[in-house]
Amino acid sequence: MYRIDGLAFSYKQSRELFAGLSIRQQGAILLCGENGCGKSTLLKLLAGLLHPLAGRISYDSQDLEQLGSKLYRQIFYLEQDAEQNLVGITPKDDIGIWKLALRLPDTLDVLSEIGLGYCSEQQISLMSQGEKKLLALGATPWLMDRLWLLDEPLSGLDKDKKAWFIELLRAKIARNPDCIVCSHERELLIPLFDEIWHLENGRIAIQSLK
Amino acid sequence: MNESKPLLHPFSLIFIVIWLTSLALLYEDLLVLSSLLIICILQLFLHNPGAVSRILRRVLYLIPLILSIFFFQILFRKQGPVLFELGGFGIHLPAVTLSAAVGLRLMIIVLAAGIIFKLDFPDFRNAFGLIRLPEELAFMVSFVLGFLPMVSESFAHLQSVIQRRGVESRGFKVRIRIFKLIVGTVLANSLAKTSEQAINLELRGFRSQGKHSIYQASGLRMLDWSWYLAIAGLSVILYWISIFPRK
Repeated sequence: MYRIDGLAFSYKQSRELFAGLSIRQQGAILLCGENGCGKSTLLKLLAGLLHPLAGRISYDSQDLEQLGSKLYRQIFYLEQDAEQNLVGITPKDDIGIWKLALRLPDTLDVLSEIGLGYCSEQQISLMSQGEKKLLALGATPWLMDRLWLLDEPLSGLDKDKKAWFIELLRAKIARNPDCIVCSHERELLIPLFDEIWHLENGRIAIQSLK
Repeated sequence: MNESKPLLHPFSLIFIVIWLTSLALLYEDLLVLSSLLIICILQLFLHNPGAVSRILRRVLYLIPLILSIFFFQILFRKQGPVLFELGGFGIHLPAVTLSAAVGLRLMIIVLAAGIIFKLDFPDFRNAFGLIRLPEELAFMVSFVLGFLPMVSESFAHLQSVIQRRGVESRGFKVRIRIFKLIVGTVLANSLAKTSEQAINLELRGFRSQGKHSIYQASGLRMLDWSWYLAIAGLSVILYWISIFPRK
């Protein structure tokens, strides 16, 4: 569970975001807001990839700065640009790296599970945006116990793959509801979540869905 | 060079870098190399003050490399006068001077590169256009200069992606495996990026319409010529230092 107290952040020579934001995450959160309002920045701050100008972010009562890389054994963060989540030349390499952190079945089985069994040896740089996004989500069925921070997980996916991922998300939330998902596909996702956080002008308006 | 008005024409900055690095390779004299290093630092402060701390950090990264050169030279070079002797082990003067020269040269090259660090493609086109070199060359040089930061950024990003998956790089085998994979990915991504850039250039019709006007073309100013005069004077002084007999 995340807790944010008095958060402030700004990129170089840019306006300040989240002027003193304080909020507590519990359960499944859908993060919404207009383009450029700071949704992705907030997720990056929660993933410890950016450092706040002021304020404190804690995960399970421990400061992110103190947690360091231990945080990454408890969360799964997906960047908006699918390629930024991938490592290696082929999907096989990428899944191979996941295997250093998780107990996964055979690489081909993992790729077949996400419908990419046909391109295990293909160069990642030559794959379509949708295929890259699927690969970036490839290990999610084995990450159910972690807290998910997902930035636009549905973008680039076709109708069937969106349905597959929504079902997966439903199963994850039923098992461990902790997740913050940022998406413009509100209508598809609303039924799954406990709260919507509307981010506007650095402030969050909470809308309960339960 | 978009942030502030440059002190000198981009061509003059490139000329200063070529002058500094060429002299650093030509001379072995430690006094000349030290003088070049001081000139290099002054030039960096003058022409690219924003990058000084970043470039000096890069020089710090060179220290282990320079120390290892010292170590191997001291260990294996056993000719010339002995500076220090203990038991059967002696440190010889040529080993020390050669490793100091290599260290100074490396530092000069890194610092000199910092002077033209913020030049972009229009600056190189402007500089190369002054001596009628083709703009393809200007593009290649600006791309190569941007290539190394791109590679190091890519390296750091991939390390972060692996770390945030919860991978613990414990054990030699795991580290080697991760390192191999990162290097392979960086190379593959760089090649992909290069061919992508080539396609983008073709799509924009790069050099397909013959000669055209150059945006923001400018000539050398009085200040540039004064610098060339100063460079000529410094070259003479450095030559005099190098031939001046010393005990």
